[in-house]
Amino acid sequence: MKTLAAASMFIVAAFAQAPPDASEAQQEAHRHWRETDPNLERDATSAGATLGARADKVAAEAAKYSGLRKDYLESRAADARRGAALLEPVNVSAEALPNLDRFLSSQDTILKSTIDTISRDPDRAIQQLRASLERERAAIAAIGTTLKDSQKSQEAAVQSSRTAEEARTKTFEEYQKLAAGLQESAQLADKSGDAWAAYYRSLSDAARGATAPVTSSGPALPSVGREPAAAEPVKSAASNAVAAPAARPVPPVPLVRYVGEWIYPTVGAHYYGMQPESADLVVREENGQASGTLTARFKLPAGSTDNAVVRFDFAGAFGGTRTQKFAVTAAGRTTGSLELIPGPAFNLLEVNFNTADKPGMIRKGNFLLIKK
Amino acid sequence: MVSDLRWYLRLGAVVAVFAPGGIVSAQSPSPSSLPALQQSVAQRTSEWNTLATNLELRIARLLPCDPQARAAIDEVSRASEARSVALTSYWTVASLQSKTQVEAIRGLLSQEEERVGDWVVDASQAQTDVAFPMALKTSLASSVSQMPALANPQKDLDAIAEQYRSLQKQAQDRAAAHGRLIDDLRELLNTTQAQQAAIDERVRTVSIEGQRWSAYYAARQARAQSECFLVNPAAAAAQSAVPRPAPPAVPRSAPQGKKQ
Repeated sequence: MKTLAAASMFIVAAFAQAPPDASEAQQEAHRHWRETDPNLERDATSAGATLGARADKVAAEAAKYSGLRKDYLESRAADARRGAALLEPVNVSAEALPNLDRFLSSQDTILKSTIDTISRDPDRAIQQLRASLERERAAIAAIGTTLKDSQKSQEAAVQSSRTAEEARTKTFEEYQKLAAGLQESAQLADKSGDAWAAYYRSLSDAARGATAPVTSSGPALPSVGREPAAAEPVKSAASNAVAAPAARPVPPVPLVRYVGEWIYPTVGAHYYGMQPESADLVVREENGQASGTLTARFKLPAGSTDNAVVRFDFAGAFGGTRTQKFAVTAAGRTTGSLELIPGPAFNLLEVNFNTADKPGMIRKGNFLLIKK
Repeated sequence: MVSDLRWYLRLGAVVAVFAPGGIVSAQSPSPSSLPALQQSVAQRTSEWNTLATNLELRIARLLPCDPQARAAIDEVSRASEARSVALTSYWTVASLQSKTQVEAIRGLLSQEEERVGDWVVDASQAQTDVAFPMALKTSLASSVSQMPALANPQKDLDAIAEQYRSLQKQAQDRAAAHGRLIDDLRELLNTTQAQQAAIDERVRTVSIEGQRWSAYYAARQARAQSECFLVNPAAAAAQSAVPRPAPPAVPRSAPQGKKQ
């Protein structure tokens, strides 16, 4: 009984599955996504720069739904894998049968002959022996019948085991196929989540393009939430590099919009002025202080002998504005300023630098980076 | 009746000893795993076969009242019982494993039957997923003429709709595959239950076979006693009064110089 109870507990534990309301949660997330900003697309031509923030909101809901959908499909795939694992083979095989037919047959013959020989002897002891022989013979006859039944039952058990194993293999494979299909769907759901994020970025870019086109043709970069502080002189930027005051200002957007590793995208790149070939930006934050490095290579105009590579460090305190301005340093001295402006989507960051470096170096750059 | 009772008690002991092993054997090879038990059955059957085949030859060389004759019958009887115990252990463990499987399959079938509705909801959700980007595309369509840049997000929506169509197809395939899975589980439950019944029947016949052999060796022992009584009643009475001598562990050659 303990064994059966333990086995039952094992089985019950194995049937643990995704919460039953997972489907409802998905539907609710989808509804919420649809209802977050139903006019977003309609307003694309008129909303301009403000569409970015709206698109961010809707993108977050889309990501939530896609995440739930992926989790749901993955949990169902895990359930299917657990189901397959529960199907274990019970392979019984034919055991060696006793090879005693000849022995039993010869014993029976001997017993019968002996019984016939002594059957008419009136001696009491002889008759007792005869009775013993009769009982032994009856036992042999019973064994003969039992051995036939035994063989039949053995064959039936082995055959039924073979049939059950075939059915088990088929079901096991069906479970595995189901698990693989669900896993594939989960991956596709994940991809579609990324596709939605790209869509909302693209929508936002297109909408901003209506008021301030941001293309490689060279007009000014978008300035969603950008403050006029960008025009501050280098000197003023340098003053930002001092230690944070006691009441530290907090940026209006999360620090994650600035901090991290960023790169210049190979597709859909946006810049103003000199066109970058590549760019890597690392931004760190500690106790309200930012520090980091920008490395960029630019495409030089034909005939230019300038150095195509720009590399500098920067540091300073995070301010309370959306646009963060830091001092650029080289060889321990301030040589310019760098602005970091959160882009229209959570994973985009605009960089605007201005350095007073020595001749032959690139002094200005303005481009959009994507989070690595 | 006593013989039957002994058999059922032995069977009970076997079940008690091997039941936990049945579960353990599902996780790792152990002495109570089916292959190990099958090996034990083969070994015990071989040992018993050898002793049983040579029994009459050994006894024929002994005097009727020679205690070694009774010991030889006892030895074969014990070998027969050892084989029966090994067989019972093997089939009992197989039966327990099969029962566990029946329960597992029953649980899975019940779970999958409950989920039929989930797959319908899943397919419906996949349909909604396809419709949504298409609806957004329609919303954008009128603006594209005013703002050509919107053609890019429109293309994104096409790509998304295509992904969702793939997901929808997968959801439909899944619903069909799930139907097949339920059919397979039903068939598996039937075949596993049939296997369970056959194994239980095998356990029963193994038990009966063991009883029959025990009855035979008891009858053979009784015949040896009657033969002894014919030759030497006093010795026969003494033999029946004292416990039987323990037989040697391995078959030994017949003693020399003792002829019936």
